[in-house]
Amino acid sequence: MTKTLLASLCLAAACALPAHATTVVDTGTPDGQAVGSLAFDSADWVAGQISFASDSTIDAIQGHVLAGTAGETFDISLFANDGGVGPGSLLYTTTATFAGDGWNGVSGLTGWNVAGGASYWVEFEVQGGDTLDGTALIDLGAPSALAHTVSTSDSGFHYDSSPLSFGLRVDASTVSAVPAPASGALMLAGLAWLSLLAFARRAR
Amino acid sequence: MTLASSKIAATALARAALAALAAAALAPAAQAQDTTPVVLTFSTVGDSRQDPNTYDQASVGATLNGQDATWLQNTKAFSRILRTIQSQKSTMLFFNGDMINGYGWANYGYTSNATQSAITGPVAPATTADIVGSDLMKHYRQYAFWRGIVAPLPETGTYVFPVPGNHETECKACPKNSDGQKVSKVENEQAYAANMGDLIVDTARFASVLGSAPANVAYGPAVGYSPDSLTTDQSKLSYSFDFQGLHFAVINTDPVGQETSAPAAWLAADLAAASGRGARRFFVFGHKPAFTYAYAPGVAGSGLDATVTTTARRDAFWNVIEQYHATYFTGHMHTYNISRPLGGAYQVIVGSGGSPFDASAAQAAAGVLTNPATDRDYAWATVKVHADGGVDILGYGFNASFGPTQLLGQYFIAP
Repeated sequence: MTKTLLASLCLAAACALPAHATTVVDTGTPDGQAVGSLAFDSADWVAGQISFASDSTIDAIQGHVLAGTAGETFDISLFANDGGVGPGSLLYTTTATFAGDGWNGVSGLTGWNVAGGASYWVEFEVQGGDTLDGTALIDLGAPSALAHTVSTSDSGFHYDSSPLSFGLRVDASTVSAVPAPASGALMLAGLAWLSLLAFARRAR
Repeated sequence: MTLASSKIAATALARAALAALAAAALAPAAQAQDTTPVVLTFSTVGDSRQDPNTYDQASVGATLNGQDATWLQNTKAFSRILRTIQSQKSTMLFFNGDMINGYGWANYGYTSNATQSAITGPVAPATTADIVGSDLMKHYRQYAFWRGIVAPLPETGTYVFPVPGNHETECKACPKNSDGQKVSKVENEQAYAANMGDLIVDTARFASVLGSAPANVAYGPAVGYSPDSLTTDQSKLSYSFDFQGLHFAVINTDPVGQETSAPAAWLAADLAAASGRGARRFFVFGHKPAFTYAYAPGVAGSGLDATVTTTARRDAFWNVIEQYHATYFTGHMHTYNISRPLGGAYQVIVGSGGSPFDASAAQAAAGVLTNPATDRDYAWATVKVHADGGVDILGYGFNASFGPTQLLGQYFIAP
């Protein structure tokens, strides 16, 4: 019986762990056409506003980038929302490596924790020691563009009334302090099953 | 990517991958067609001067700020272009003329009025105001401001080559020539040489920026040598050099006595010599387009095709361009357009460095522009030369509202 109880507790503990990563933002794939895309160099960057339904940890971020050279780097950062007009304070930043035309970004992020219900800005930028070629491009034409985007071209800050349809994918894992209802139900089902086994053993 | 840890996410990933593959199959190639290494990147733009009277209010506002009203630059547009050119790692910038509003007569004692519809002189200045208000002083003052704007470029990896434009060489209020063209003045050419001559071509400084010196530097015809019927010293207005097996030539398209004309004979000899040295590519820079771009119905010829007389000379010039498969980069028209006028050589118009757009906001609103997406863009070209001789011409720009920088066009010249 002690073993049965331990098994039940382990099952319950497992149910309380963060959920597996799921895609929480996906604009779809842009059109892949270079002409009409945004310059992506040390003078030009873009950011898009995203939000999360619940407390989460971001696992992966990807953007659709063209015309770089494999092995060159760029930065992906997460900013707090400054009240609705654009990125506020910098929260996290990491370096990504361009692999080829298409989705490029980072995965396996740790500690990129975000709060449910809050808005954030994901930013793509070439800066510091980044090596991405000066004629790389941020691809536009994503079918489900973000509602709010900003960009700058080194002459000021542009809050776009017509959002820039750049490609963005964000994967995140939900962080839950108490078992979610579904997890609780699963735990109860497990306990019932174990009780049934114990009852059957006694009946024999 | 952690998506793979979830079956649902894995399905989504597969779906996205399929979508990406489908998109890739349908979309044009985004990458340059030439995969050999880039051996040289340079940029070109022209016409950053502001107009004191007819500035583009839809773009820069109802009034010019004090700085641009005084020194007559579109500083916001031009400085942004320069910063982006540098971020694109261009090692050379060819500025295709009209760096100053000029258009006066930079001679002693001449002063144009505010709209440059009339000019007085020669009158010896009697007061400080006479001196400060003179055309000579205005030219020099505007040159100095432009030089200040571009001064940081050589310090950070980009050598600047100037190209003379009609606003540097011509006098607007002076009587026109028999062909109806504004006339250039030798004093204006001299003012240009005085303010730009140190850049043409400082081989030591060039070497300090690019790592090695240009070769076979040649200068335009001196006084008395007139293969193109030129009468004034052109040694600082037309010039050429070789670098990394490529040939670069700058021409004055408004020399005194031959306004709105390229020095075709000088250029033909220059390109022939470069070809004899084994030059692989020929890049020519001049202010006025060989072929006017009709950005809207009814646009009159304003390039080297302005009149019947100039068009005949234009044909001789373009024959040279075609003969050597050269690429002609130009300004003058305040717009962006890249074309192959006769189906062969490229003409790249990038006179969109800040001057009032030729295509007006009213024309844009009326929907009559030929290329509404780019006709009113501040734009430049960045050129990437590959190891095998292939050339990418990339047109970049941002709209009149100073929106994000975009790739406007992409052209490839095969090795």
